[in-house]
Amino acid sequence: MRLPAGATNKTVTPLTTKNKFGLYYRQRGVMDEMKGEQLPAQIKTVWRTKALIDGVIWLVITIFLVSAWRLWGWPWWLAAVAGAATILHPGIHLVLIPYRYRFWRYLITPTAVYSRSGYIFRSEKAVPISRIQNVTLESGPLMQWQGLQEVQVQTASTTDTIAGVTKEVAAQLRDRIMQLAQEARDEG
Amino acid sequence: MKDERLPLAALILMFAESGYKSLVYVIGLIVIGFRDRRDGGWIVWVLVAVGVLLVFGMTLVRYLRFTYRLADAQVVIKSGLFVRKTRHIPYAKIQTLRRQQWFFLKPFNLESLTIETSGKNGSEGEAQLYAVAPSVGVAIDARRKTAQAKAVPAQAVPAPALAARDQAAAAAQLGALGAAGQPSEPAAVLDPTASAQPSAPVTSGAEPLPAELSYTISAHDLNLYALTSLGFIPILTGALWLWDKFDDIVPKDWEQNVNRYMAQLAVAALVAVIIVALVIGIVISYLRLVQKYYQFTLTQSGDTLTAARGLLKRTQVSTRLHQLQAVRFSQTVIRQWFHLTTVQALIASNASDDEQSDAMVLMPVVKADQALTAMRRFVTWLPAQVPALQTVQRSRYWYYIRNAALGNLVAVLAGLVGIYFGRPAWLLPAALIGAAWVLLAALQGTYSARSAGVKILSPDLLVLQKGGWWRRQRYFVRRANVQSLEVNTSVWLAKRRVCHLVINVRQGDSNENIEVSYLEQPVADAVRAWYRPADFGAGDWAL
Repeated sequence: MRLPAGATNKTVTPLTTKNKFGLYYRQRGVMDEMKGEQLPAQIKTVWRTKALIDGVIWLVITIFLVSAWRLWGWPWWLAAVAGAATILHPGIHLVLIPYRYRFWRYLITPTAVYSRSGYIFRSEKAVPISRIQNVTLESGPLMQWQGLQEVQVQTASTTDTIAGVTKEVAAQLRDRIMQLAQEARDEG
Repeated sequence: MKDERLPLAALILMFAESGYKSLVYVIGLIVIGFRDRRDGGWIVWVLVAVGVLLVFGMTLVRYLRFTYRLADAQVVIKSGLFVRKTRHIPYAKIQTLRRQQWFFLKPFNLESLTIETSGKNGSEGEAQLYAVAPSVGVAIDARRKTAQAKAVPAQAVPAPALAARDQAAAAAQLGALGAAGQPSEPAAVLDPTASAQPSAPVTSGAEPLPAELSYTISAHDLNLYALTSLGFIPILTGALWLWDKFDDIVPKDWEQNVNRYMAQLAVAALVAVIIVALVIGIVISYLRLVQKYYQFTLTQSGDTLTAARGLLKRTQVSTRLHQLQAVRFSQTVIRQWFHLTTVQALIASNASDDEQSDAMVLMPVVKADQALTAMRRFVTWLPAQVPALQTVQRSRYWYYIRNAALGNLVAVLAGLVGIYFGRPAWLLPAALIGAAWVLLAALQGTYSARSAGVKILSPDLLVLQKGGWWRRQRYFVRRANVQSLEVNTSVWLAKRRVCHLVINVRQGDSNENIEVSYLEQPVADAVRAWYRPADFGAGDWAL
């Protein structure tokens, strides 16, 4: 993982590029001057699998409700709602996965952790390393299967998450944060 | 050092604890299962056996998967089977080590160790080692002391004192706290929320404490506070309380007579009755507030600020100056008209008033133009005066108005739909009230828009202002106390170069989310550069 040593390009001209959909993609902020990292590609597999599992769960519920409607006379609209959810919930997630992946960036500088997400609704967060109290690496079975870990960075009042990074990156990240947290200086 | 499991004795104790906790369910299962049973109830026993096996199995898995390790710079705690969690807690950030020895741990010579950082408490904030040998606690403590001594040289600040809510005499309290201002341990306990800010006032034991500063509210100010606090809710609660009392005292048939009587009453007389009830509600609420803030006194002694108040019940809240996260100047619309303001402190511990259950009151009411000067005596990092804020541009007011009106319109429409299906006769007056409400919300939107603003006062100080529901709040925050910063926008706003700025500050045991919406992009960029100058360059922060 590259750790750019501090700010490099100071020009604050807005970046305008035309992406493959023909839309002008214009963003401001630290992510333009310094390249942020994308999440590893495996995270998409994790997201897709999770969406499919959700779909299966909804399917089971729908089947149960349909049989309940048949056997015990439960209202039909329960099964209808569950059926709609079976299609919509995983469907929406699957459709949004490329969008989510494309517009998620994170960046670690010597003094702070930055993250940026979204295109329609955009958010940029800055967490100085000196404010970080502890770091939690969490991975459920899906993430373990892909060799990823979720990094939760906790300050005194907020918790920010990087959805998934490889184990090596997680280790580097943790080491960096621990080292700087130990020094506990407020780097300018 | 490699990953260590908890000692075997801990497993036995965990079994016992799980068994004890699940006893209720087992008994419940047996009771329910054996009711109306015709087949001798063997299936209940099977279920109970399965349940017990499950519980013990889960405890075993939990025990096997829990490991801890004292690494060079941090404590590493791993747990979980399906969801694997690794927690890294640097020694330097450990705020408190709680060591408890329950009676059942005594024979095994084990103790329960809780590691608290200044992250939020709850499942994420503290790590617990269920039962370990006392040497582990000693080792962590030793490493913590070395780590913190290395980080902050020779700044002895004792562990933050939490609120004292009982009736302890103020003098004795302050005396004890003054004595505690002397360095008690050679290693410093870091102030986690201000990242070793050197400017926090610290008195060493050798110098005499500075003269106690104190402020007591005058009777006139107290009156003013109680009178200007009257919101809609206190009046309503006063009236409802009165009606409730009325209901209890009066015998049922008399009440029925009154109800019949009132039903025949002319509208004017009914209105008169309502007004009387409201006046009584106002009086009650006024008296309640006067009692609550009777002889409000703010005292500073060394590093500690203490606020005492109350007539019937004298309460006292103290905090250390370095625990102050932000200072908030809050004005309701009424107080704005009278040029008054309330000063509150956002502090890191749970030592806050029960008044609004969020912030400690430093001054209930003070003239707005004198407020800063008065507070500067106590909180020295406040500025002498505040220049004009960078406000939201007029062309952006529309966003505020639209959001407030739309949000309330949806609620009003939902209510109207309910009324239409419930009592159609009320539809017209309800619609009129709803329309008036939406208009009010739009006005409120304008008020919010006019109040919003931000200003960078110095490389270490920021002032933010935002408007809520008929209330304006101004925050003074030091850079070291800002936990994180966010800039949010949308694709449509980005075209116009408009965004929202969010500052996160610790308040009590949770987060205070200070958001100033619909600011111009250069202003938000300047604040971000102020917050992270290393990554954004000095830039033109002095906007």
